[in-house]
Amino acid sequence: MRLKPSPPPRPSPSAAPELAAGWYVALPSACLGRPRRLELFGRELVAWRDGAGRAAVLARYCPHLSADLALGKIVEGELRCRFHHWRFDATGACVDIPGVRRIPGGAHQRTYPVRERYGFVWVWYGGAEPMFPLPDFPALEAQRDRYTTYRFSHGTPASPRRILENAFDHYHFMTLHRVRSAGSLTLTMLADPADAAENGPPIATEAWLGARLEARALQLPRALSPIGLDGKDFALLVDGWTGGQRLTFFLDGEVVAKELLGITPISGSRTVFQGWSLVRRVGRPWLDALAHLGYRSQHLLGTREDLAIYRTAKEGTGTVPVKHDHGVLRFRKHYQTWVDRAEAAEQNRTVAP
Amino acid sequence: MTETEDHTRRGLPPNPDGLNLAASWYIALSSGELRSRPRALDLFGRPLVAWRDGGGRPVVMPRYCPHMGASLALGRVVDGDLRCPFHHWSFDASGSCVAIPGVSRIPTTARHAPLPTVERYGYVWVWYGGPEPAFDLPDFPAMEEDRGAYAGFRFDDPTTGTARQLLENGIDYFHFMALHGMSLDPVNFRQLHDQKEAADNGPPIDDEAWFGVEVDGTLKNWQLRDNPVGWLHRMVTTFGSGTHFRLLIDGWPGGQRFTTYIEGEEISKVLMGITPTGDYLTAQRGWAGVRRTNKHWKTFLYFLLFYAQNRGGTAQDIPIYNTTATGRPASYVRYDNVLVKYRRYYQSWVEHAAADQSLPGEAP
Repeated sequence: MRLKPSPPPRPSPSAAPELAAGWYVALPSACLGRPRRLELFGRELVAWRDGAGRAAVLARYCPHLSADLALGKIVEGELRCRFHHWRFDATGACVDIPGVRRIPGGAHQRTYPVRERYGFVWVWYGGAEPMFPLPDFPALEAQRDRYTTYRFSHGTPASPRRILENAFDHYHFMTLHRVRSAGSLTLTMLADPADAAENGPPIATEAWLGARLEARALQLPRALSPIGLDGKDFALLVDGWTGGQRLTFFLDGEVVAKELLGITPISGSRTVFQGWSLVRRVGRPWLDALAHLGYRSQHLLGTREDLAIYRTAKEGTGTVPVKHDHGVLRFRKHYQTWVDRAEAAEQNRTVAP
Repeated sequence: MTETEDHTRRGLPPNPDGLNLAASWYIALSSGELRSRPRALDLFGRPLVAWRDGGGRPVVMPRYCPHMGASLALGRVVDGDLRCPFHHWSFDASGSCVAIPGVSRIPTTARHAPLPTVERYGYVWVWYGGPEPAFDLPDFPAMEEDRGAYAGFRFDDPTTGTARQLLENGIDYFHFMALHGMSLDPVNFRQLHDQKEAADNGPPIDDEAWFGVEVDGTLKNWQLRDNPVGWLHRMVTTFGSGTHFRLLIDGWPGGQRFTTYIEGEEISKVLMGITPTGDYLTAQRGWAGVRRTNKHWKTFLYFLLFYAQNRGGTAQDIPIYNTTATGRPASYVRYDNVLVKYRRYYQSWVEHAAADQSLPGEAP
């Protein structure tokens, strides 16, 4: 009716998913320059960089009159609200209000613990203090030159738990992804973080869960036989925490590829999983390129098979487990304890100022 | 206790989510938008229809025919009555069904209650908050008897803000400095307590419905060479005619009148009305004009500067309107004391509207 175009409707934040306490990927480091809106954990947040370039994540709306701090600007390393120029430091404290000497006690924004590593900004969910450090992944740091790498990112309506439990669901590799081998693919839960040493230094025991998947004598489509992968023994070492995973793929005991998987829980109906894939270099550029392309294509095809399931599955239904679901069930139990921890910690947060 | 409850307990005005609309006069549409054909209109989150009766008077009433729910906006005005396209039921300007073809006895429930309507300043205004207006639509002589003394333009700015956000913006004087970069120093801001002080805006408004403030300050006298941005800002604000700035704002719960003075001389006037379409869909509409001078070129220059100032300022405000959260407690500081009073005043008129539960269209 109006001749003028209506402004775009306001996005309404959807409820937070049942989320475990943990480290999550907020966004790639390169995407964070000026203050920007961030929707994470079903909450409206703002991400920005302080004077030293350190990333900070705060609740989005100014405690004064609820203006959007993402419209603000960095002035002397502090986030300045556009509306009345209130300034906040990286701890969320209001440090300056023009025209006012005494800063009111309520002028404090909630902040989230942040780490920047592996080219991502990681944010802790579940209370004010991280319960364990962000895990190490040496393959992307000290040992990076051993691999060709690429980054991946996929969005899905599935919950973080569904994405993370996928690696512990060894059976779906045979059915959905059609992995054929001489015997059945087996899954062994690991007992000790040190058992996953190939993935990196041990992760805090309480947060950690790991497994080893093995298949004897892989059977690949005949077309792939000439490249010599046929008949090799396959193993996948996966370990991680509640917001991410480290994976190492072996053929005949040799590392062929690694992966770092991070979860970005945007809202109850939107999750992004993103991270790095690393393909072992053999030293000959053309072979490396071929291996990189080969790995990348099978990774993409496999992910698309997973995404189709994620997109259409219904959360909270399908609870008839059978014996080969022991990995998934073990993971869900572990995950739930961290959902409970997150809830308790968030509860404490809202009580204490 | 929720944060919001705590907020109210401490004597601060509530800060509700959603429409939170005060009883008041609002702009339904501009006079030019309503011609001989009825048209569909969404206001206050309700589907309405606007049309003109035989005398050309605007009528705003619920959109759907009480018979089978057809949209009366598809109808036609026949002999001064609005005729539904579906079964040709006809409604007069009082909302009563006056003719049903093939039926001699018209059911008593076949009626719509129109909203109180006034056409003025080139807009159709409707009253929200009960069947009877609690006060008259305020006068604004600059658009009527003094129209010739001004060169003005109309504005229409849709936002995803709320009516209160748009209205309290003038009361929030501190944002003139922070957001708009006005270099007012020193600056005095006060609430007006006597309508005589706002006489330049127009005749008095109903006392209960009235709220007025005044900003009085001196702009830094930036020179072009030292601070080109500051200089330009001052030129656009004052038309280069001085540094003493005074802004008089008064209004009712759904609109405001503005007069700006430089060195005590009036330079411009604004009338702002609100079109509350629905939740987080609110437009500010109205007219802004400069006082004519004795030279055409000067008036034209002032008009251009004022246009730039008004549109530029609005372009800074709109992203704030569109993204500011509602329903959260506020941390007020010293300079917000009049804003807090404004919010209390506004809320008392929200309660006035809430006290009248009858929706338009329900037979009284």
